[in-house]
Amino acid sequence: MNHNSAFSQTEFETLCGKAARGAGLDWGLAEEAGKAAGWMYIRGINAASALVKAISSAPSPAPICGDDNWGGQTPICPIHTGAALVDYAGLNALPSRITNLRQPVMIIPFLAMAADLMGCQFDLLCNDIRLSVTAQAIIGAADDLCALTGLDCATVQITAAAITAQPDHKPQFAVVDPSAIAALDALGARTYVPATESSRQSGAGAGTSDND
Amino acid sequence: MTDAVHRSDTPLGPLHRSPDQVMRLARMGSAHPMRLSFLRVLLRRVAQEGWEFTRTHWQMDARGVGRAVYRAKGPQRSYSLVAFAHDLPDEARSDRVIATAWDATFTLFDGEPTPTDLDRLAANVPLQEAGRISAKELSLSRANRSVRLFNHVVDRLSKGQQPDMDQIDAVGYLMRTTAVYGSGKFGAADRALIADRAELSAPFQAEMLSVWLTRWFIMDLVNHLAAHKGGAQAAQLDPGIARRLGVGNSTGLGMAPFLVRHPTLINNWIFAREEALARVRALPGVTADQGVTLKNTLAAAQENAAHWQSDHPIQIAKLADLRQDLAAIETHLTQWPAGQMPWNALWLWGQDHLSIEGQEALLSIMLEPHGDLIDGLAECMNADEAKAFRINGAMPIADLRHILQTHYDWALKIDFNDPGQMARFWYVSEEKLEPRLGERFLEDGAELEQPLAIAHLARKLYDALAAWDDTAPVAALLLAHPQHRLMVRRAQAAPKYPFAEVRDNLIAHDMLPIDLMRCKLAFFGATRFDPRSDKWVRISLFSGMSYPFEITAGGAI
Repeated sequence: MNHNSAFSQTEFETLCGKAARGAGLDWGLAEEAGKAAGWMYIRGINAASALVKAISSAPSPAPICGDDNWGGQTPICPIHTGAALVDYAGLNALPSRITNLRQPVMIIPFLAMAADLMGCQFDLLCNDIRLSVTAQAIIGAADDLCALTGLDCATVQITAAAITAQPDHKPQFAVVDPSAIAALDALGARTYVPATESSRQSGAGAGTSDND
Repeated sequence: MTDAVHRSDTPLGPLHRSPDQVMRLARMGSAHPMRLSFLRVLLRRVAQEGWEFTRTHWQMDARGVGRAVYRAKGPQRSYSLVAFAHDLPDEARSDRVIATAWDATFTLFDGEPTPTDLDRLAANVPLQEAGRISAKELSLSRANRSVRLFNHVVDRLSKGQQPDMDQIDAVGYLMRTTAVYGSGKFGAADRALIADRAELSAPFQAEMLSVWLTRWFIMDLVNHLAAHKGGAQAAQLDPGIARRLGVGNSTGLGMAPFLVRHPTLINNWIFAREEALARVRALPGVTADQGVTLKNTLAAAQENAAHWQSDHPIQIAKLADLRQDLAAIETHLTQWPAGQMPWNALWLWGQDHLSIEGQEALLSIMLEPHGDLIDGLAECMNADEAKAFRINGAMPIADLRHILQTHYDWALKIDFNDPGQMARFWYVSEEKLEPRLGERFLEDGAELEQPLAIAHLARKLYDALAAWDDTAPVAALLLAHPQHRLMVRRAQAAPKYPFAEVRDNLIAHDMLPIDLMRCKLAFFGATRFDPRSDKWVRISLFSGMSYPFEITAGGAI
């Protein structure tokens, strides 16, 4: 595939969702991985690299959810954790700390969905990085977002807070790293079934002329 | 149980058909185009708004190689079809998605392209999937000549003669598109960027505009080639013959999963049609104009059925049903209208006396006289799919169980221990990069099954719920069992979107993918549905309709 110009959001989401499925995530989670990556992509974040790092080695586990602390013995999956955050947001049962979170930047789009649901914003603290996430936007310094993007695994503290600002969201497609795209393509290709002689013979156009 | 489930969420009234009746494959596979079909929506808009259509660029050599631009100018914006015509050797012509060359390639440009845009598009559009387009483009498509008809028409015209009408009717189009991509494909503009434009808010309007302008290009191309071949003696294609010709389309299994993957969108299409039928059935009387339009529409349907050809045994049987049923309707109308709510009486008579094929044809015919009553429903046929995406983690398991029992009872009745009900699996072929159907017990690859067997997913979810307490939240279920996430999302949307699910088993041994295709294509407005197997079809678009240059402000369509 030739990717020498910008992906549309739809295309990027499809690529990421397919890669997530290829990496072994369940279908519903793979859909959310695609949507989450698309949310980040149109806000200028290189979600392709983050997603590849989040899913490309052995699948990471779901969080073990205590009342106020979610985490795991090994680094936990940000997609599964993020999806659970949105699910539990509806119950007003969110943790204040998520430990051992793989690719913590990937939690942002899920916090945005939770913020939308709860009508609040989330203040996020990770090491000394501080950002706020509203339903539509990430508020904070570009350097902090960049630093968060660079973290492979970290503890994240989240606090629901009153909305302080509602910046307009103007789509700004991220510049994506070609090697990450290639890695996503390769993961996505794991969802394909190789052809066999019998599948070719029973295929959609098999045995009939399509040039008449 | 919470109010969310106890409350009557259904938007359906007594004159609406039920999803159990409507969403069966046999009925979906008998769908006919109608007033709310997307190409009709487009044609109504451009006529009502007085759009202007101009061929702004034509640079074509004697072999028909070159480029052309057709501009559609609306009240707010312009769109341009950019066409590239190629000289394709016969042996390279294939409708399959794996083809790498075509007779002509197209894109719908958002606005009017500059020479720089045209050069960029010339370097990419002819490559189709292997090229890239940008957010300035709304579609990407290609078309191949009908070998049977194209050369015949050019030859005849070049000799100053009109083509043979039997051959025109046997094929019905000069070129057929083999894919029309929109919505962000290959770098094109995302749907979200254009969905707020009135002229593009109904589904597939950019794609329909592209195909309609392509029809004009094709007519210009045959006239151009005939003029070069025949010189002064060449004739132009007779407008009456041109009017009969549509744009062909060749479609394989790739289209079938779309209906399953876009449940809220499909609900909104079907709901709009069913709401239209319910409104018509509720009318207290028949005006003289309505009666005349109804009879004219029936006559047109009979004419269409007479010309509608297929070699496929299933379609041959359906066409026989259709012709017989249209004749029965004609006879019945001699004693109609009578009594109160005559439209409802007509509909109920049809349900008792017509085949499914005939009933669905009657639906389309009955909608035709009622533009004022139903055309506005076209505005409700798009969908904000993001709205139904978020799962309600707070929903108690009891409510989810209740949804499955009430909205997926059809699925829970299927015996998946019967190998015939598990016979197939949907997958994406590595070789074709297209959805395909495999035989689960005969072929490899079932572990890579795509999640299209919704009935089976509903069954598995329902079984999993047996181990859960009524009061536990869905969030806890999904934390422990993420494999049910996709099905939970669909199930939670079901009460609000009654027509979201195809209520049949999509992996059963006797399932016909062409039934899904016909439903979607009828919503596009396709005619002459002609299955070439149970997995791919040919159809025609815009056959019998106006060309862009024939549109006049306020004119009838």
